[in-house]
Amino acid sequence: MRTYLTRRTLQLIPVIIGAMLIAFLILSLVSDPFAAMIENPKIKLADIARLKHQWGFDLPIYLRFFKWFGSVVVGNWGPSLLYPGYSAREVIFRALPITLQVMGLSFIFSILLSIPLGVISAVKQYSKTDYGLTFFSFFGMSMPTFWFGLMMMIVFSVWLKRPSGVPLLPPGSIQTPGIESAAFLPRVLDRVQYLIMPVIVLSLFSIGGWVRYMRSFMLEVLHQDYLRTARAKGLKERTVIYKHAFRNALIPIITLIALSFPGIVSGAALTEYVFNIPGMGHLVLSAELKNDFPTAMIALTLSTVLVVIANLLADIVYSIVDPRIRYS
Amino acid sequence: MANELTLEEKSKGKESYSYWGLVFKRLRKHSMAMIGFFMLIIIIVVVVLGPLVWRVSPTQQPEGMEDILLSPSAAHPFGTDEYGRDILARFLYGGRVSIFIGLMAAISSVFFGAVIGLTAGFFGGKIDAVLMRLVDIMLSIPIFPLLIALASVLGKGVWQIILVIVVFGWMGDARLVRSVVLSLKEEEFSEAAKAIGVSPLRIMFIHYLPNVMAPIIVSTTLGIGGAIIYEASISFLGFGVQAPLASWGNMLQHAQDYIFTHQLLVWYPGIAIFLTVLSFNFMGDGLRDAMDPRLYR
Amino acid sequence: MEKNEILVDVKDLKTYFFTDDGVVKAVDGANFTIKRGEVLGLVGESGCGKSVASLSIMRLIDKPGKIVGGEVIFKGENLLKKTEEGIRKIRGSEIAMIFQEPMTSLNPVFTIGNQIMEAILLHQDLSEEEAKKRVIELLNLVGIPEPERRFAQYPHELSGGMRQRAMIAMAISCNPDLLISDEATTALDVTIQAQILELMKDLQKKIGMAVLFITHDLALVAEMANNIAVTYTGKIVEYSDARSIFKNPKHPYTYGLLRSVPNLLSEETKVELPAIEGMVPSPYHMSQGCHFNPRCPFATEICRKEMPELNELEPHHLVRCFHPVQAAKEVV
Repeated sequence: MRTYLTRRTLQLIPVIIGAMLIAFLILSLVSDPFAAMIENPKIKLADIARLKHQWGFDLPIYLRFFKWFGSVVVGNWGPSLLYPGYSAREVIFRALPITLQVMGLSFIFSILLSIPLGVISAVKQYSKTDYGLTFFSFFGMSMPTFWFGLMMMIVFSVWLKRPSGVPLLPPGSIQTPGIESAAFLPRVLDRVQYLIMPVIVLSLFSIGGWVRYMRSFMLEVLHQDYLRTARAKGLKERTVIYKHAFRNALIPIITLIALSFPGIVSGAALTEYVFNIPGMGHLVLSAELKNDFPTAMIALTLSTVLVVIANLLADIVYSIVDPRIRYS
Repeated sequence: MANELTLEEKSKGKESYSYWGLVFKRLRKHSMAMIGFFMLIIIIVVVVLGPLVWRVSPTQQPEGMEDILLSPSAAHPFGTDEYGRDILARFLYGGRVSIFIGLMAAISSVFFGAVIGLTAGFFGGKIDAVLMRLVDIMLSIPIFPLLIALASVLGKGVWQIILVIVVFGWMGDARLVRSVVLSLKEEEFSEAAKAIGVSPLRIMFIHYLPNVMAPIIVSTTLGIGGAIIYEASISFLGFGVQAPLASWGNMLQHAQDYIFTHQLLVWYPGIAIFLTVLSFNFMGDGLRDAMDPRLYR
Repeated sequence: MEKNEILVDVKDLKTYFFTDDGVVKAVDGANFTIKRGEVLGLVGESGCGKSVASLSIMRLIDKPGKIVGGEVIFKGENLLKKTEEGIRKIRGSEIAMIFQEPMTSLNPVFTIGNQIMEAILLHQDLSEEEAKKRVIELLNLVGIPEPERRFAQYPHELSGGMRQRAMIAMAISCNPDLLISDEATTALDVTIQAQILELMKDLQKKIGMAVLFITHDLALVAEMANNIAVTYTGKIVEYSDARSIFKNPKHPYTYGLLRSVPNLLSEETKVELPAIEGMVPSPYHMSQGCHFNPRCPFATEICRKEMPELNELEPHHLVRCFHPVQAAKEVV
């Protein structure tokens, strides 16, 4: 088991480097990042020159990559151009926990909802429940996330209002101004109301796809011989399905979830933008829109690292769940 | 006894179906696929013939400021947008653009992915390892931000968007095709072909490709939906199709600013995207079931 | 508990499958009995309903199949009329079943010890400790070496023969009165097959359980079975004790089957008979009259029109044929 994990971890390093390379290449094609900087009065020309040297703009592109790579790995991330006065690191680390909250909650919500729904859909194949759930999953898979976000905002922020006249759910941002000074519980509750819509919106697409897949994984397992053996032993149907069948369906489910990570991270970017949530995805997009090349690069790299780590975790869970991997 | 006669009659008829005949037969039974199919026909008819019937310009802006953001009326059944342009016209022309982009992008991604998958699967070894590593890397990067970056670099326009979507969309098909090829390689006819001395290209395209067609067709159909959503998202952010050209995505771009006052602007393009993608998904799913050799019915 | 008490009495069992392409009469009026401690061999080619019959006894038939008629009297009760809970109590504890493919019949994500223990804990009032000890005893009994180590292993870590032994252990764990073996040795290598058969014979004598031994290979039942029922397309075509079947086969099908294993037929009964031509017909394509008639060298007009009944030609020897093979007698 340990060798398996070590091997997987080592395999991930070239992936991260490769991802950084591709991101670097693409973002390098973007027009001169220094143009905006030069126009910005808050940044001294000396600093710009220093940055040019630090990021290797005086070097050909392949050398530039290595120089940039070196400084990123060391932690030297330079200043933020989006928010002059702050370092890139500060800006990124302020955004990171917010994205983790949004993605984490969405992830948990999606799993908690799709696994039972997928299983039920399979067990009650061809029933009304099954058709209903299938329709719902198509609904989720066909809905453009950002539009759903806008629609939800219309319903919950424009049409539905609280008695005080304020929208039922806030149409954007992450917390009520001034809440930082409040106690823990009110802060949490406050944050929750801002997160409800984005989390639902981000989860919809995942849930749609996952229910569908989980249904088919479960269906495939339901036709296996060992279930017949289990019934022949005299087990209750419920035990047969939820112990014997489900446990086997879990294996492809984990693979599926792992494969969906990049999509969730990617979708989070758009959701954050629509709901104006200051997370990593929003940061990347804003940075790109405003030519903050270095911040965008690093944020992208971190997002990739997130995905890669999540994949590794999935591998660990996978090897726990499938004994055939462990003992071969 | 009556049972047995009918059985015999039925079984005689069954023998004569070819592969595609069987696929269509199963497809017709699949109610969702048929719903999707008819929805799609309606949408395509509306979008292709619509502009010929509703002859209003989608780009013409009125002189003064009085005509902006009008509610639906006889002259403008969907109202007017923030520049005074007729929404219905933009809707119809925009549909053409969005669906066109979706189709082209999906077909190109599948094509490109299939070529890579065929090559990787067939040649194996180092080529396979390198290509699959590339797939892994591309799949690990959050696509959307990079999509935007590339879109901004290439400039904004229809063909650029198609290229961008393809650059980030070929990986799934490559993996799919590769796994089909790998299992085909194990089959005996592969060894036979190699032994006779058939050239690799011929094996790849004439022997393997037909077997790959089924999953490719499914993937393309489902991919069109995804591509349309991508286009909409990119245009929504301002990087895609540019005004005055309309697409369902860019119609939503400015609609965001008006959600508190004019919700219809958000409603129309969104519903259109949703229904179009839904019908492609229904069809793709039906096709997948129809072509699946292991039917559970 | 009388030795000669009838354990299972299957009367006119009918199990049909209602598919989109028509009705398949997998079991169409089966009648057989098994006494305590007896071994009944149910023989026939693939697709003739033997497995379905055994699954019907356990009521393990799923859609689109349905048991549409008949009775299965087990220890005096009709199993087909019992409640779901009632039949579950019997499964695994009084009637047990082993299947053809040991690899797919065992759950790959649980250890074999765990899976066997599950059966024990379900039907018997033992603690986990005691159950585990019993499992190890069982693994020993079925001839699996190093049972403590094997207890914690997963199915994919065992060879085919060992998996089947594990399945047998699972089946006999609660000392069933009847063991149904559904082509349990078909998927194994010949030498392993012989070992497993030996094991089954051994256990059968030790535990005193009855066995319904289903197979397409007549040679396998030769040593083990007390009685043999030969089936064809859902109907029993010959039913007698083992000795009579081998020495005195009456149905042309039985005769044909025996003929394909030359050593089985004793010298006296050898009569010139061509090999059985053709194949088992598709369930949707069955001919009128006796289902065997297209392949039968003795078929006449009546065979093509009517289905013969199961007649008791000699005491305890039933045959379903208009022209049972008499030649054997003539030669003698």
